[in-house]
Amino acid sequence: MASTRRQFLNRVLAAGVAAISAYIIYPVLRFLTPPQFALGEQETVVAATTDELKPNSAKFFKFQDKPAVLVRLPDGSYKALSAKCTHLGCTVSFESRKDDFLCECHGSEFDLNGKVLRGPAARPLPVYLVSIRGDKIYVSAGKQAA
Amino acid sequence: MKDFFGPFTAFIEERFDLTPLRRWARHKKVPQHKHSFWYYFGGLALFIISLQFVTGILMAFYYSPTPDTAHESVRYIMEKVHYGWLIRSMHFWGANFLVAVVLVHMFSTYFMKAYRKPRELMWLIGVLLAGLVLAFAFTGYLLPWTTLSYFATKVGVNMPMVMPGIGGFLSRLLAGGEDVGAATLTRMFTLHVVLLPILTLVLVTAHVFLSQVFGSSVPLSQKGYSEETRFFPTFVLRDSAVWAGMLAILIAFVTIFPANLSSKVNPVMPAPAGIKPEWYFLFLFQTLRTFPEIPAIAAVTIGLIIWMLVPFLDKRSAKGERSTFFTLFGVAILVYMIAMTMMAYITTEVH
Amino acid sequence: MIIAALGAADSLASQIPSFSDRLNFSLPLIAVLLVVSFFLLLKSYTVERGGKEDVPGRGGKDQPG
Repeated sequence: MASTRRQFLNRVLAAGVAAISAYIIYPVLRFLTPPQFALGEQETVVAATTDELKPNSAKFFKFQDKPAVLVRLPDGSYKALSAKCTHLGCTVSFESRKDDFLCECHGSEFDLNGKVLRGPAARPLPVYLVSIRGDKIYVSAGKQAA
Repeated sequence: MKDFFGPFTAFIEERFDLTPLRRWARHKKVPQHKHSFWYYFGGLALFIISLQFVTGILMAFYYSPTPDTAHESVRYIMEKVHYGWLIRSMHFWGANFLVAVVLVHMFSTYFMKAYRKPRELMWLIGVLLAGLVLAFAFTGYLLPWTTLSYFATKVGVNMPMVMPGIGGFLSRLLAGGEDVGAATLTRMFTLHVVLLPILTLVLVTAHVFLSQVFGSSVPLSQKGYSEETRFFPTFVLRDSAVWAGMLAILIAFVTIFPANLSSKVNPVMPAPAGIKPEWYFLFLFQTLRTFPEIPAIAAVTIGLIIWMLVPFLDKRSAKGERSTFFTLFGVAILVYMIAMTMMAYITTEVH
Repeated sequence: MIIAALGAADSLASQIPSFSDRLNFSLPLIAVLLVVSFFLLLKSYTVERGGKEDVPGRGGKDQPG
């Protein structure tokens, strides 16, 4: 009788302590998690002006808080891609001689469509939409086949 | 000396019974055999950790952890603050020597099978402490806000991404946002100067306490050792001699190769050519360059877990028998780390 | 305030004390450390050779025997 009463008390206490711990740990964990803001799928930025880039050169800019790159091809057209290497997140550089992107951190290479030419990266660089209005070049995250 | 401390000792002794402490100090012995040399590395690590605390606290008086001021305040320490070059270079070289000493300590205790019963917990805490030392190195690396440190941190915070399910969450938790930025700098700073030091203090205390409870482990091959030295004063004197020697070596390094400060990061620009981490992360760097990231990170994680659990897996040395398998396992890991490090040096040199 | 006190960004090498200045600071310290280290080692061997039954002193000051 006494022992079951003691067991019951211990269980209630254990459950109480567990509940209090969870009640304290949960807000702490939530506090440490940075708040996430909707970045907006269609967010558009002005990446450059039309007289800024010579053919076969690139400009790096921030897009949705990540590095992105705008390339002017030799034929004068533009391509915009995420410059964040899909391997471990370093910013890729543009190699005008080889017409590709190289990540200096671990040696991954991508072509101008973002396709992986050499590992260790496995996934392609996301491609962004480019549109020109007036003398401004807009880049947006619309769906586009890579 | 005795007269000087006399009143103080009398004050303490009137209030506390120091007899057990005296008896302990009198009876504590250190085994003396042909592998006793390795016993000095634990104490040496403790000494360098204390140095890191001192130089770190000093730098915290000037350092300012924001993207606009971090690099500038480190430059200020180096260029304007009196003996700033000395304090920061001590911290820099101290970190490098600490990693080296901790690695030697860990591998020497491993090969002497010092982890075997009853010291399993000591080993576990020791591996955690080695992890903390590397975490200090990683978090401290970002603080000068240089291009090199920026991309090193990017790679580091992106590594958990390969974990299914919680990877993205863990990565965001470390970076404090979508990408490495101001929030990451605050996080690394807080980890480096608040959380990791507290954890280190707790674990070092536990580790040292256990080493006093169990005493030094004697390798199985030296079981019949016949000599002992007293801990007080003999071993303490030799420990101090080693520490003084270490400090002399550190000062020499600091004088000849003061820490440098590379250029401030421009977060939009690509990673510079030939970028590579500090020597102690090169084996990991080369692993990531050679293998796809998911198997690479999974293999390293599994290896680390096995490494931590070795005292519980190695049943033979627990019974006092030779366990060749675990010796070979240690050799394999050591050979892998050295080979990958050398490969990283060779391939980046060619680049 | 801090930033205002700094010169051009690439001037670090010229801003910290020269090698000979650093040496002037370090050499005496290194010398003393090595001497202290040597004598600590020497002492550890002399106390070890001395009477083992002796109670080791506090502060390592009292020589046994």
